[in-house]
Amino acid sequence: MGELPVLEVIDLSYTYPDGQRALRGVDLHVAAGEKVGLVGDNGAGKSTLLLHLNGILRAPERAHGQAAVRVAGQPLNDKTVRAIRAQVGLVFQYPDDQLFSPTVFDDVAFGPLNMGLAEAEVRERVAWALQQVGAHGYEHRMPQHLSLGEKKRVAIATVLAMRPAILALDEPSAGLDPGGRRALLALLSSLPQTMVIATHDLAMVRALCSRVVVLEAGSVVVDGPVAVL
Amino acid sequence: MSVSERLLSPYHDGTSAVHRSDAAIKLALTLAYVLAVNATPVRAWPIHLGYAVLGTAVIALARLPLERVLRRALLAAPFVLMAVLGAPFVREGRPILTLPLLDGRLVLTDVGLSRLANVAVKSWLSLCAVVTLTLTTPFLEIVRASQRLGLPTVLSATILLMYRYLFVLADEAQRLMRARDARTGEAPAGSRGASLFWRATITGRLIGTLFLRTVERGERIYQAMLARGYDGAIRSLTAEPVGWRAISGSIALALLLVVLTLFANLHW
Repeated sequence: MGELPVLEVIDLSYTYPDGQRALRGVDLHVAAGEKVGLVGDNGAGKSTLLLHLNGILRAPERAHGQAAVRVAGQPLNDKTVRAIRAQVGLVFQYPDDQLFSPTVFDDVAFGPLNMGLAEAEVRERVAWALQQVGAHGYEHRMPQHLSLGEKKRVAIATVLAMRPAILALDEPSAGLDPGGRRALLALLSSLPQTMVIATHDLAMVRALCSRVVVLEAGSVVVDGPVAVL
Repeated sequence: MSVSERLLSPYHDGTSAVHRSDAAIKLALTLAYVLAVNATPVRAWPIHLGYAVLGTAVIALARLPLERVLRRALLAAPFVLMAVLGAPFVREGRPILTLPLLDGRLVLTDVGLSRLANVAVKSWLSLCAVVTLTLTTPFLEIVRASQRLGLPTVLSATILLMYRYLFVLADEAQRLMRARDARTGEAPAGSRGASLFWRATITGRLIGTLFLRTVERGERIYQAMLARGYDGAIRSLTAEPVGWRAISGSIALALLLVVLTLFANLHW
């Protein structure tokens, strides 16, 4: 890791309100452009970790004031959380949760609109993001008319439109048919963003990632080159 | 097209002038029509006939199958029926018929009958107008139009979210019911062991499950919104203004409706 880390997680622990300990002292440093596979059993804390990367979940304030998550050197706190949400694009596991707008256009425009961009810029970004994921011309389609593979690609476009430096993807290939999975793999390997990909799909990790992190019961047990798989 | 899709999307595709005209105009005119119909006393029946002709003309212009309009309007009939049933039996007016029920206390009067006609005619005309609107205008456009006409964004955003997840929910409900049906067997002896109460319990649990899943989904959707910078303010691109030609056309039609209503109220 010669390069400056773009994403730093430092000794992050998190306990859900119901008392379930999801993360125990997780450390993770990701360099710019790196693609990291995050694997582990269900309940190991993968999704919980992803939700911390842009402040949807936040560990309680620490006594010494050190942030548990830093993005591009910036500590994640109340002041930076909105800026960091534009830098870390979170793609949720179920596209039906992510695509909440009546049309594809509205959904892809949601992030840029929240960033306060001008109308022309919003339209330009929607067209660009849909182009990136091969969903050009889908603007006026309704999410309920898309296949799962199309929904997943549009879900990625919804965060790409915010031009994030980092993509955090939760189970991107789950439930896809072989064709849809191939298309998704091609898409993800063509994108230049730094990526953290939580998945059970080890073949995808091998094809896409240079590094793998294994979580077990909320702790990192393996962190190394993908060859360890 | 899934089952939910067919139920929830009444839009009947077409290229008629009615289909092509601005949704905001159509919505405003439909509201004006409903208001006019309901502001006209029922004794002015020729005017109501005029309303019916006007409505039918729009349906014909839109090239909608009349049968489809009537069938969709019929969907709301049970609600109208509830309102109408008690109407003929009022105390005022000249008795016409005494029903041999409840010690002869059910008396049909002329005032009651005219009230029945009143509710029936007005609700039917209004329903047909609204159905015509939904058949010629995609649902999304109706909501966007109401937003342009001044409906608060919070309301329109809520309606749009509801519409989006109705489909998801309907499919989820269908999956749950399939899972239940798949395990609803009959013992070889042919006895149906399940009592009505037991089956009702299962259905209740099904609804409970659906509710819990909905709550969880709501939480996930909110997280997805937060992740893309949602801060409580609903932003949208500026809607295009309503064209002046459409506006003048609809003002003319609305004026006609006002004149009809006034005439009916003064003359009859």
